[in-house]
Amino acid sequence: MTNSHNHNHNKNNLVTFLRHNQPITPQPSPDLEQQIIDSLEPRHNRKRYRTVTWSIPSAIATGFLFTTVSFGVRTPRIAIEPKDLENFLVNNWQDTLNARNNNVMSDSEAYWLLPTVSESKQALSVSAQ
Amino acid sequence: MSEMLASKQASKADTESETGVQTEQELILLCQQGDRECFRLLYQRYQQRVRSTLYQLCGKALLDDLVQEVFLRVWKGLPKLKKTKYFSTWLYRISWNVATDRRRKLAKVRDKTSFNEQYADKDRLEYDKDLSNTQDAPDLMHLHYQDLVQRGLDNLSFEHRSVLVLHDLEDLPQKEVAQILDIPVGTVKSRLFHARNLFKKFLQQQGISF
Repeated sequence: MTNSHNHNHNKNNLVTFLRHNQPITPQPSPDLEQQIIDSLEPRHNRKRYRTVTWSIPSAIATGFLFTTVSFGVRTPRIAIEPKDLENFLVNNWQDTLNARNNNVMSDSEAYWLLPTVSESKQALSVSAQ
Repeated sequence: MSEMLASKQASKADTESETGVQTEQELILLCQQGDRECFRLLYQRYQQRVRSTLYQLCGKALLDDLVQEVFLRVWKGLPKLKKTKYFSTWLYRISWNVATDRRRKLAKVRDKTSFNEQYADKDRLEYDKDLSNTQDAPDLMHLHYQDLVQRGLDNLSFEHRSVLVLHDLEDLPQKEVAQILDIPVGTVKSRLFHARNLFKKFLQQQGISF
């Protein structure tokens, strides 16, 4: 108890001595304050900076997505099944038969497989001669 | 001491009267938004504490440069400071970092012994200069004790010195010292105990005992 009391007493004496006799801090140079203020870097608006920062990757991601989707739609698909190939031929080779008259081949499969009315009449008349 | 308190109160009054800013947290928030004039007020409010800490840790040489370095780091780091109520602790932490960096740089440049001798000589010269400037001062004993405290601090390792300066001279609680130095409170207590004992031994060697 006595030791503890003495210890605290000594500690308090030392701390009091230190505080009372701590060296006086030298005064700053008169222009230090202004010098510091002048040295401050201009602060960027963080919100604006963040918006710009985020808009760039967003734009890139959107463009990439758009390109991927459109490219995927336009990519020719390969017909694996014979039925798919047949459908593809039916739907796409009509123009090669009669490039002059596009209206003839417009509707259905049955329509383009049959000869047109005008052509058949011509054919009949030739055979009659 | 009374001058320090008066200057603190004056700067506080200036803060409130010039800008209408009432609390420290508002001041810090404005500084975070880039208000230089508020930062000037913040500087006026804290520069004495920063200056005093750096002086006790590093001595007089390049003190202005060190203070400037601290406040430039504060300005740069302020936007990242989330808990403004811990500003004071954060500021002391930066001061301590700057002091540590300074000591490391010096240690690289010069070997320890020659540095200490040179520094002790320099400080001695500065002290003598101060003494010659204050020859008319009535209390020469007080100046002598101040010199002893300065030399006693120089005598301690940087770890012990930091704890003693922050706790006993700057009057910060042990918990805050632990936060500033990033060490457990138990380590602060232990270092403080050893630092005081070493200081006491030094003073006893100089003929002062408690």
